[in-house]
Amino acid sequence: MITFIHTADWQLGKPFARVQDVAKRSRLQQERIEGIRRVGDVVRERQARFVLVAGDLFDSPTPTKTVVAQALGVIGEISVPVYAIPGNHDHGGIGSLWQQPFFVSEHRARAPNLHLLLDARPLEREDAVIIPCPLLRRQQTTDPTGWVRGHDFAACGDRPRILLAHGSVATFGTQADPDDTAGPPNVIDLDALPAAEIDYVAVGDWHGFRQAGPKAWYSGTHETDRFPKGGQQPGHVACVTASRGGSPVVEAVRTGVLDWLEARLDLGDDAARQCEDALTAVTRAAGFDRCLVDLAITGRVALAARRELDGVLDAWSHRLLRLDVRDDVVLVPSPDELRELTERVGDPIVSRVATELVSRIAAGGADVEDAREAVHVLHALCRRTEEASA
Amino acid sequence: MRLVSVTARNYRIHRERTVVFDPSRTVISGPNESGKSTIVEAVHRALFLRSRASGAVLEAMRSQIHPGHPSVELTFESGGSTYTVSKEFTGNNSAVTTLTEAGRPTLRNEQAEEKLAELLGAEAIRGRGAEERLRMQWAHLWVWQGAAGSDPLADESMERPLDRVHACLGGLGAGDVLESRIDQAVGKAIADTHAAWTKDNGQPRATSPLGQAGAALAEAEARLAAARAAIDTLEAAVAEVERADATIADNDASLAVRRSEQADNDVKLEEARTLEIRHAEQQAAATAAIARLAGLADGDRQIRECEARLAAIEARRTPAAEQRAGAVAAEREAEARCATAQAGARQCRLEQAAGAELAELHARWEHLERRRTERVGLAGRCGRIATLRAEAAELQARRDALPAVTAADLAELAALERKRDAAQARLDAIATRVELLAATDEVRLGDHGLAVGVPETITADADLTVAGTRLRISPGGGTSLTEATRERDDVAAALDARLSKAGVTDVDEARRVQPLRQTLESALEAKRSAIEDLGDRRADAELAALAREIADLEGALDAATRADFIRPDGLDAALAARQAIDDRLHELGRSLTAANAAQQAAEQRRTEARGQRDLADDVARRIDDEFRTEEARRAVLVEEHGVSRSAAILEATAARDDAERALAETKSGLAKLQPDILRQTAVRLQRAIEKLIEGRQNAQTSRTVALERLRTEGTLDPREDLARARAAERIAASRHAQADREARAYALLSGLFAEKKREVEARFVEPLTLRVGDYLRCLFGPDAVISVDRADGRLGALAVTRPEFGGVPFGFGQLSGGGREQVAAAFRLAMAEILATEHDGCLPIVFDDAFVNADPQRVAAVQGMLDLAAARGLQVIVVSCNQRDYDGLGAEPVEFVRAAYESRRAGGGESASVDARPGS
Repeated sequence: MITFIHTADWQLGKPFARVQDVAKRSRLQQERIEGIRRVGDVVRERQARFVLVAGDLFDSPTPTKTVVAQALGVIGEISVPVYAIPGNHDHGGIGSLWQQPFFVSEHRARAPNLHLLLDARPLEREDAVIIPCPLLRRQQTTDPTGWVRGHDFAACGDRPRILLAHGSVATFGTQADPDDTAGPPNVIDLDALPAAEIDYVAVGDWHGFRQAGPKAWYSGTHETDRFPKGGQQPGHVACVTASRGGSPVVEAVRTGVLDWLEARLDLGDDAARQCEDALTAVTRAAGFDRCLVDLAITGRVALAARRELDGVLDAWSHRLLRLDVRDDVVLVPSPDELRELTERVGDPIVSRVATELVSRIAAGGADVEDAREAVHVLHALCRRTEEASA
Repeated sequence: MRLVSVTARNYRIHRERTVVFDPSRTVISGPNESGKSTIVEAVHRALFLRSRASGAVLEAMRSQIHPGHPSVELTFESGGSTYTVSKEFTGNNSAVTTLTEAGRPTLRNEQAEEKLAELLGAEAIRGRGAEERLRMQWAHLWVWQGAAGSDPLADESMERPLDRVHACLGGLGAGDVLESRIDQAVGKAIADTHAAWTKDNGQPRATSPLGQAGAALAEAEARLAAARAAIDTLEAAVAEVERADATIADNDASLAVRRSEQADNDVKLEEARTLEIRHAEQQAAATAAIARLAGLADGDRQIRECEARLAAIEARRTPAAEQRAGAVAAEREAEARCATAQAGARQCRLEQAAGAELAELHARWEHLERRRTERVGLAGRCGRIATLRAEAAELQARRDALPAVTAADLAELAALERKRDAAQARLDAIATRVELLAATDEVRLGDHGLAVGVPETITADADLTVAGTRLRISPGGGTSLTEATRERDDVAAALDARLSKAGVTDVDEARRVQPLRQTLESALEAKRSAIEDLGDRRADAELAALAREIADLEGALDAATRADFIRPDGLDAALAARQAIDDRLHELGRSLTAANAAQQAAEQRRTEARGQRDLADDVARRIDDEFRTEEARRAVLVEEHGVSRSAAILEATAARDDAERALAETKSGLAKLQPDILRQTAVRLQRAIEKLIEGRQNAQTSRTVALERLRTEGTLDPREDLARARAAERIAASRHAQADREARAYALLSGLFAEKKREVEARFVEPLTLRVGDYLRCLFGPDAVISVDRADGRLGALAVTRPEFGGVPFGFGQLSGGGREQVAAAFRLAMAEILATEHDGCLPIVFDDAFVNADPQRVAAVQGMLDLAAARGLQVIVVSCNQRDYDGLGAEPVEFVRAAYESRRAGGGESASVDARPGS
C-alpha cells in the first residue's frame, strides 16, 4: 500500500490573453505557480511518497525561460520525487523544451527531484512500478499505451503498478477550449490494457477531477484555468492509496483558489440593479478579486436603464479578475423617453427626426439597428445640450 | 392699394393724357412710340419721385414738344380711402406736391410726400442716382420693358421686396418655429461630429474613432498573422526535421537493398563478359568455314554453266548456215531482174529523144508559116498608108493657096472693123453735117463740091463756098472732135495694116476665106491622123523586118531538117502536124515513166537481198566467236579448280556445320543472360545509389538547419504570443464594430437632420410656392412644380420641374427666354399676392411688354395666368403693342394712337388731347 499524489494539466505559462489588464493576467499566471506550492503542502499533509504529473506541466512546448525557472524552482521545493510525462501541450517532440539547454541546466540545478519519463519503459522504485506512456511527438496517431499491452509484468513482482498516461478516454470526448492551440488529443483505450496487471491508471488532459474507468482517474488541473463545462470540478489533486491487486482509494483534495463562474441574466427595466445583485451574489464566496465571470445578458432595456447598466458593467469589469459579457440586450426606449424626443414642441427638427427614427424602428427594416443606436445618441445629445445650457 | 386714374401733362410725348384703370384688368395697347410706357412711367414717378427731383431724371420726363413742366396727377385707393396725388416737377424748389384724401384737407409738399411714402411703405426718391433707385421702387410690381426675363430671386432690385415677402411668410405660417436653439445645437453637434468622422465620399476619416478602430483592427490582424506565421515557421521546422528523419531512414533502407542488387548484378555481368569473348572467337571461325565452302561451291557451279553455254551455241550453228544459203540465192535473182529493168528504161529514153527532135522541127515550121501570114497583112496596111499620104498632099496644096487667115485673125479684123465703125459713128455724131438740099450754084465744101442730097460730115473747120460767098463752118465739140477724128483714123489705119498682113483686101474676104481654110485644115488633120493610126513609117520598117525574119527561119530549117520530117503545107497543116507529134511525145513520156519506176523497184529489191545475205554472214561469224570464247573460259576454270571437286565440298560443308553449332550454343547462353539489361541495370543501380546518398546528405543538412531554427531564445513563447494576438484582434474587432455602429448612427442622424430641416423650411416657404405653383400650372399644365429653397434666413434659388422635361428641376438660368419671362411673371404675381396682405389685399402689377418671347399657345396661357391673378385680387395692368394678344383676358382696353398722326390732323404741331377712356 502506498500513498501518492496524482495531478496533471498544470498548464504553466498559460497566457490568459483574454484578460486585458496586465496585472490581472500576471496574477492568474502566478496563481498557478503558487498552486504547485499548495500541492507540496498536500504532499506533506498526506505523507505522499511521490507525485505523478500526468502530462501538460507546461501550456506550450516552448515556454519562456522565466516560466521554466519558476516552475523548476517551485517543483524543487517539493520534498518528494515528482514523476512527469509529456502531454499534448508540452509534448516531447522535436524542438520542445525537454531538450533545450536551459531547461536541462535548470532541471539539474533546481529540481533534481523531477524525473521526466520520456521513454516507454517502466520505472522501478522499491515500492512501486511506474509505467509511463509519454507523448513524444507533436501528433501521435497511435495509442501511447499501446506498448503496455504486450509487456511482461513478471519483473514487477508484488509492487503496485501505476500507469501514467495523457489523452482522452473515448467515452466522454474532449474539451474544446478556444485558447487551446494544441490540436486534437490522443485517444487512450483503457479496455485494451491488461487490467489485472495494473493497479492504478493516472490520466491527464481532462481538467476536472473524474473517474475514467474502474481503476482510472483524471485528477484534473490543480488550479482552474478556464470556465468549466457542466459538472466539471477543476482545482483539485488526487490523493491515491493503491496496493497490488486491490482497488485504489482516491480522494480529491482542493488546491485551487480561483473561481471561474458563469452567469445568465434576463434584464428588464431594473437592469442595473439586477446585474449588481447577481454579480455580488456569485462572487461572495471567493471574494470578487478571486473571481472570473462569464456573463450572458439578454432582455430589453430603455435608454436610461441602459446607461445605468453600462455603468454597473464597467464597475464590475474593474473589480473582477475578468468579466466577459455577451451582450444581447435590446435597447427599447420607454414610451416616456420616446415622447420626450418626438413631442418636443419647441424643437421641430429634433421632434421630426426622432419621429422618423421611431417609425423606422417600428417598421423593422434593414436599418433598425442603426435607428436604435441613433435614438440612443440623439437622446444623449439632447440631454447634454439641455444640461449645458442649464 | 389700387390705381384709379392718371393724368400726365407735358410729359414727354403727352401734352395732356388721362388713363382710367379698371379695378382688376387693364390692357393698354397701341403702336410703338404712342406713349404707352410713358404713361405707366408717369404713374411710377408720381408715386415715388419727389417733385423737387432734378437732373437726368427730370430731363428724361420733360417734353421736347410741349412747353411747361411735366406734371402728373394720380388717383388711387388705399386703406379704404381715395387719394389724389399731384406732382409738378419743376426741378427746383418751386416744385409742388399735393396729396388729397377725400373729405380731408390737402397735404402739401413735405407732408404730402411723407404721407404718400407711408401709404406705400416706401420712400420717395431724389438726388444722386435717382434713376437707379427709382427703378428699384416696387420693382417687383413694375415689370419695365426689357426686364421681364431677369431672375426675380437674383435681381438686386428685388432684395427689399423679397425680404418683405419673407417677413410676411413668417406671419402667414402656422406659427411654427423654424429651428429652435436646441435643434440648432444638436444638429450642429451631429453635423460636426459626422463631418469630423466622415470624408465627403462616405469613407471614415483616419482620425475618427471608426478610422482609428479600423487601423487598430488592421494592426491587430497583422500581429495575429505574424504570430501565426511565427508558429507556422516553427511547426514547419518541426515538420522539416521529421521529414528529414524519414528521408534518412528510407534512404538507408533503400541503399542497403540497392547495394545487394548491385552485387548480384555484377556477378552476372562477369559471366556475360566471358561468354561474349567466346562468342566472338567462334563467330570468326564459323565465318571462315562458310567462306571456304562458298568458294568451292561457286567454282564448281561456274564450270558447269560454261559447259551448258557451249552446248547451246553449238545447237545454233546449223540453222544459221541454211539461212545464209537462201539469202545468197535471193540476191542473185534480184540482180538479174534489175538488169532487165534498166535495159527497158534505156530504150524508152532513146525513143523519146527522137520524138522530141521531130516535134522541134514541126514547131519551127509552124512559126515560119505564121510569119508569112503576118507579112501579107502588113503589106496591105502599107498600101493604105501611101494612099492617104497622097490625099493629104492635095489638101495641103489647096489650103496653102488661100490667104492665111486664122480664126484669131478674123476675130481681130472684125473687132477692128467694129471699132472703126464705132469711131466713125462717134465722129459723125460729133461732127457737123452739111447737106445740100438745093443749089443753083455750085456749093463747094473745102476742096470739093457738095452733091445734092448727100450729107457730109464736117469734122474740122471747113470753108463752105457758094458763088462769091465763103462760109467757115467750125464744128463744135472742140477737142473731142479732134480726138474722135484721130481715133477713127488710128483705128482705120490699124485695120488696114491688119488686112494687108492677113493678105486680104477687106474683112468680108477674110470672112469668106477663113472657114474654107478651116475646113481644109480639118480634113488634112483627119488624114494625118489616119496615117498615124496605121502606123505611118513604122509599118514600113516592120514589113522589112518581117521579111528578113522569114528568110532567116527558112534558112535554119533547111539546115536542121531530118529524114522523117515532112513539111506541111500551110499554117493549118503545120498546126495539125504539130498536134500529132505532141500527142506522140506524151505517149512516149508515159512509157518512160513506167520504165523508170520498174527499174527503181528492181534496184530496191536487189539492195534488200544483199542486206539479208550480209546479216546471215554476220550470224554465222558470231556463233563461231562465242564458241571460242566460252571454250577458253572453261579451260581456265578447270585449271583453277581442279577436277575432283565434290569431295572437297563435302568436307567443307561438314566443317561449317560444326562451327555454326558451337556458335549457336554460345549465343543462346548469352541471350539468357541478357547482357544489355545487365549493363543497363548496373548503370541504373549506380545512379540510384548516388542519388540516395545525395538525398541522405541533403536531408541531413535540412535537419541540422531546422533544428537550429527550433533552438529558442526562451524570452518569448510563440504560443503565448499567438494567444495574445488572438485576444487583441477580438477586442479590436469588437471596438471596431462599436465604432461602426456609432458612425452609422451619426450618419443616419446627420442625414435626417438635414432632411427634416429642409422639410421645415419648405413648409415655411409654402405659401409662396403654392401660389407660384398655381400660376405656373396656368402656363405649363397640372404637373409643373416649383420649389424655392431657403438659405441663411433668406429666399434662395428657385427651380421648375416639368415631366415633359424629364422631371428634372431646372434653375431659372436654364429656362428658355420665354420660360424666364413667364416664370418670373408667375413669381412676381405670387409675391404681389403675399405682399398685398399689407395693402388691403390688392396691389397693382404692371407688365410692360413683358411677354415678347411667348408663342401663341403660351400667350393664351399667360392670359389665363393674369386672369387668375386678377381673380385673386391683384390689379393687373398690361402694356402691349398687340391688343389682340390680350383680348382673351377680357380686360378693359385702353387704346393709344400714334401721336404724330394726330398732331398732323390737328394741324400746327399740337398733339390732340384725346382722353383715353375705357371704351373710347
